[in-house]
Amino acid sequence: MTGSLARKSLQLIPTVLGVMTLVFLMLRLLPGDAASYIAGENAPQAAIDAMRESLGLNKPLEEQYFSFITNTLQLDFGRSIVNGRPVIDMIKSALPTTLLIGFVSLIFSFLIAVPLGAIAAYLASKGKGAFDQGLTMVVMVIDMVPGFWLALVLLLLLSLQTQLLPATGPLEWGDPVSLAKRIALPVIVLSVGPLATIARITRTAVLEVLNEDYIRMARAMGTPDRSVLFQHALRNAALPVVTIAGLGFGRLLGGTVIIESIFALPGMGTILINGINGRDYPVVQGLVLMYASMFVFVNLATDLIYTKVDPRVKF
Amino acid sequence: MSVVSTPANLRIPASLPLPDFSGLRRLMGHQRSLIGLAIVLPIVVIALAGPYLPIADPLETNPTVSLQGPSLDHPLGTDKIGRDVLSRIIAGARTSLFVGFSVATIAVGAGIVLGTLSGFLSKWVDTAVMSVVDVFLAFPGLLLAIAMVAVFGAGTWQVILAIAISDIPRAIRLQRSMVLGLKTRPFIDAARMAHAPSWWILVRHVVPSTIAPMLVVASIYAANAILVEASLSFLGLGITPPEPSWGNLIKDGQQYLQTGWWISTFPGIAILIISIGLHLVSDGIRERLDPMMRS
Amino acid sequence: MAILHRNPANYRPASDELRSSSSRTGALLSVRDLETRFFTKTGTVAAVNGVSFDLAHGERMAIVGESGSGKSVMSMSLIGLVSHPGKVTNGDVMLNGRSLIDMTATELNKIRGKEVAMVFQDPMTSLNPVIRVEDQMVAPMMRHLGLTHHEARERAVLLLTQVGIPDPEKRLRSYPHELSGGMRQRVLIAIALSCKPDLILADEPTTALDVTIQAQIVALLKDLAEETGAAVLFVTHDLGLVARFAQKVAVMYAGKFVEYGPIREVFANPQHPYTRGLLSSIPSIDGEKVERLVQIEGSPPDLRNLPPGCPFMPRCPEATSLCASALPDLTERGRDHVAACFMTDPTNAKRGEPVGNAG
Repeated sequence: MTGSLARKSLQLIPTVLGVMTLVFLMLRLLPGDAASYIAGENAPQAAIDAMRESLGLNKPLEEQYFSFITNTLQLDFGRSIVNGRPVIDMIKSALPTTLLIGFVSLIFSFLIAVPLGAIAAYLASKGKGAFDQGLTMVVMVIDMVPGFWLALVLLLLLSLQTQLLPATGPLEWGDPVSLAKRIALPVIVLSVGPLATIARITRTAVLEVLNEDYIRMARAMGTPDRSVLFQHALRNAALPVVTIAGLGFGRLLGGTVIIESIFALPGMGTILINGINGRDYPVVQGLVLMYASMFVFVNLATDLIYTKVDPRVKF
Repeated sequence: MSVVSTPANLRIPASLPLPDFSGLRRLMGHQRSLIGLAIVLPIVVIALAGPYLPIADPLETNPTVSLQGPSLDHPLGTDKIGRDVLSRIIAGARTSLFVGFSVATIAVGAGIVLGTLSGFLSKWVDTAVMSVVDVFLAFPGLLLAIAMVAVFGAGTWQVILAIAISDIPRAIRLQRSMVLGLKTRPFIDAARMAHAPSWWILVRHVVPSTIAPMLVVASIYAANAILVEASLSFLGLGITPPEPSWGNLIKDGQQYLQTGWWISTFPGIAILIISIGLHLVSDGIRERLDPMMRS
Repeated sequence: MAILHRNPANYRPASDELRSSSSRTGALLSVRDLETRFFTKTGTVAAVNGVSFDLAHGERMAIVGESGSGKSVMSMSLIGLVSHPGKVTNGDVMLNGRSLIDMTATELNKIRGKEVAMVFQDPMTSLNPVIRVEDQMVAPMMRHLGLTHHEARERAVLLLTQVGIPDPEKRLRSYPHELSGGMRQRVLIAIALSCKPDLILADEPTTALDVTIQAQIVALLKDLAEETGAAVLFVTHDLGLVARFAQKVAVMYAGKFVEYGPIREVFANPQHPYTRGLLSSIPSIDGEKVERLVQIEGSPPDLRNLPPGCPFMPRCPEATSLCASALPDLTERGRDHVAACFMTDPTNAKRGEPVGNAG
C-alpha cells in the first residue's frame, strides 16, 4: 500500500507544480508594474526601485521561477513587507486556529448531518416521507444563506444582544470551556455548508443502499431495522459521503477566510486579508500556496480513507 | 442528485452542489422552473427599472433620517447617512445580477468551447487541457476568486473575471465528460460514415445534446457568483463603494448591527431569495431533462 | 402430503379455524387468500391476487411463472419483506401454527432466518460488499442460536464444507467480490441453512448463474433439504429445472395460481394451457424428437389494467368468448390436482365462441 501511496503522490506532482507555477505567475501578471503597485503609487522612485530589487523582480524570469520553486519546497516564503517577519512563521502561528475551527466544524457537521440524512432516508423508504421532504427543503434553503450574513445575524442575536457568546477576544487554548464558547459562533456558521451537503448526500446514498439486495438479505435473516440502518446501510453509504466530504472541505476552507475576519480570529484567513489589503504579496503568495496545499492534501487523504472503507477498491 | 435516471454520458457529476427540491416533487418540473422564474424575473425587472421607480434616490444622503428603522417612508429603513436602504438594495441588485449572469455566461461559454475541444480532439489536447484544469481545481473556489481579485484589483469586471476563472474549469470538465460519452454513441459513427466533417458533427450533433445540462449548471453558477461577489465585496475586495452591491451593503451595516440591524439584514435576504429562485429554475430544467433523456 | 381438497378460492377461515385445521393436517406453512398490492403513482398493482396453498414439513414445492407473475413478490410477502409502496392487503400466512401476518416487526425478526430462511436470486448483489463473509455468516447465528462468535465461526466452517466450498477457513476471511458466482450462491445457501430453518424460500436461486452450475446448485439444495428435513419453496421460471427437485408444483400467472398439484401429475397431464405451453417449451435431450420448440406468444398482462375474465386469454390458443367475460376458479382435475380453466374443465358445460389465438 505504501507503494501505491508513493505512486499516487507522484501523480500529484504535476498538479502541485502547476499550482506553484500559477501562484508564481499571479503576481508577475499584475497589470502594470508589480513593484510600484506594492510600494504604492505615491512612493518615490527610489523606494520603488528598492522594492523591485528586494523582490528579485529584476532578475530574468527563469531565475525568479527557479528560486521561487526551490524556496517554496523548503517552505521559505520570504518575509512580510509590512512587518518583516518570515511568512512561514506567520503561517505557523495562525495555522492552529484555522485548523481548529475547520476540523471542529467538519466533525460537528458530520455528527449532525449523517444521522439526519440516514433517518430521513430510512423513513422515506418506509413510505413516511414527510420528514425526508421537510429536511431536504430546509437543508437546501440553509445552504443558500450567505455565510457571512448568517455570521452577522448570529453575532447580533447570540452575542451582541444577549451576551451569550463572545464575539471577540483571544483564544484561550488552555481553557476548554472558554475556548469552546469563543469558537462556538464561527463553528456554527462554518458547519452550515458542510452540514447541508453531507445530509443531502447521506440521505441519497442511504436511500439507494436501502434498495439493494444485500439489505433485503439482512432483513430476511432477521436483522432488526436499527442494525440494518446503522451497521449495514451506513457502511455502504459511507463511500460517496467520504468523497463528497473531501470536496466540501474546499468550501469550508474558503469559508474560514471570511469567518475569521468577522469573528476576529487570528487564523490564516485574517493574515491573508490583511496581506491583500496591505499589498504584502509574499504573505499573500505564501498563504495561497498553503491553502492550496492543504486542499490537495485533504483530497489525497480522502482517497486513502475511501480505500480503507471500500474493500473493492485498490489504492 | 440527478444521477438516477439520466444516461451515464449526460449525468451531472455528484461534485456539483445541485439543488433537490424533492419536497416540491409533486409539482411538475416545469412548474418549479416557473416559480423560480417568478422569483428571478421580477427582481431583474425591478433592478433594471430602478432609476425610474418612484422610490428614493439611492445616493441621496439625508442625515436627518439617519438610522431609522423600517417605516412607511423608508420600507427597509435608512443607513447612517440617511440613504434609503430599499433603493440601495435595488441599485445593488443591478450590480449583483449583472455579475451573476455575466459569470454564468462566460463560464458556460468557455466551458462548452474548451470542454468540447478537449473531449473531441486528440488525447494530447485533452491531457493538456485537463492538466491545467486540475491545477485550477486544486484551489478551493472562494480562495481562487480572492487570489484573482488580489491580482486584478477591485472593480466589476475584475470580479466577474475572478469568479469566472473559478467556474470555468468545472464547466470544462463537465462538458468534456458529456462529449466523451457522446463520442462513443452510434450516431457519431453514422455521421462519420456519411463523410461528415468533424466540426459539423460537433456543432450539429454533439453540442446540442449538451446544452440542456449546461443550462442547469449555468443557473447554479449565476447563484454562486452572486454569493461569491457578495463575499468578496464584503471583504472589501470586490466591488467597492460608491458602487453598491449587496455585499458591500452588508459590510456597511456591519458596524451598526445593534443600532441599525436592517442595513445588513435585508440585502442578505435579497441574496437568499435570488439564490432560491435561480436554484428552482435549475432544478426545473433538470427535471425536464430526466424524462427527455429517458426517451 | 397436505393438499387442499376444497376449492381454495372459497375458503375463508378465521385464524383459529385455520390454526386448528393446519395442525390437523400437520402443515408447516398454510397460506390463504394472500393478496399483495403495490400502490404506485401510475396505479395499484395486485402482484399477488389471491393465493392459497399448504406446505408440509420437509415437502418441496416449486412455484413456476414468468417474470411479472408475482412469484417473487409472493415468497417475500410470506415473511413480510415487501417494501413500500407494496403491502400485504389480505390473507393469512400460518407458519408452525402461528400467523405471520399479525406479527410485529420484532416477532417477525425472530422468525426470519431462524424458522424461515431465504435464498435470493443474485449472488452478486445479495452479499454486503464491504463486510467479510465470516461476519455476514456469523451474525445471524449469534442472534438466533445464541452462539458466541467463536462457536458461530466453527459452525460456519462446517456449513461451508457442507455446501461444497473448498478451503472454508480462507473463504470466511474473504470479501464477497473475491468469490466466484457459484461460490457466492453456495455461501447464500449456507447462510440460509445456518440457523436450522424449517422452511427455505428459494427465489430463483440459479437464474443468475451459469447453466452448467444451475443443476449442481439445485441438486445441492435438494440434498441439504433432505438431510435437514427442511421444506423448500422453490420459485423459478424454469419448469425443467425443478422437474426432479420438487414434489409438487404451482403454476402462477398474473398473481394467481392457475394450476397446482403433484409434479408428476402436472407434467403428465397438464390442465392449463399456460402449463402446457411451458412444458412444450422445455428442450429435452431424451424423449421424443420435437419439431420446434413452442413459444408462448405475447407477453404478460399489465397488472394495473387487468381486463375482466381470464388473464391468460389474450395468449391462449383455447380461448373463447367465455374466457373474456368470466374468471375461472381452480377446479379439481385429478388427485390433489387443480387448475383454473374453463376450456379444459370436463365439468364445465358452457363454452363460447372461439377467439382466434391458436397458432
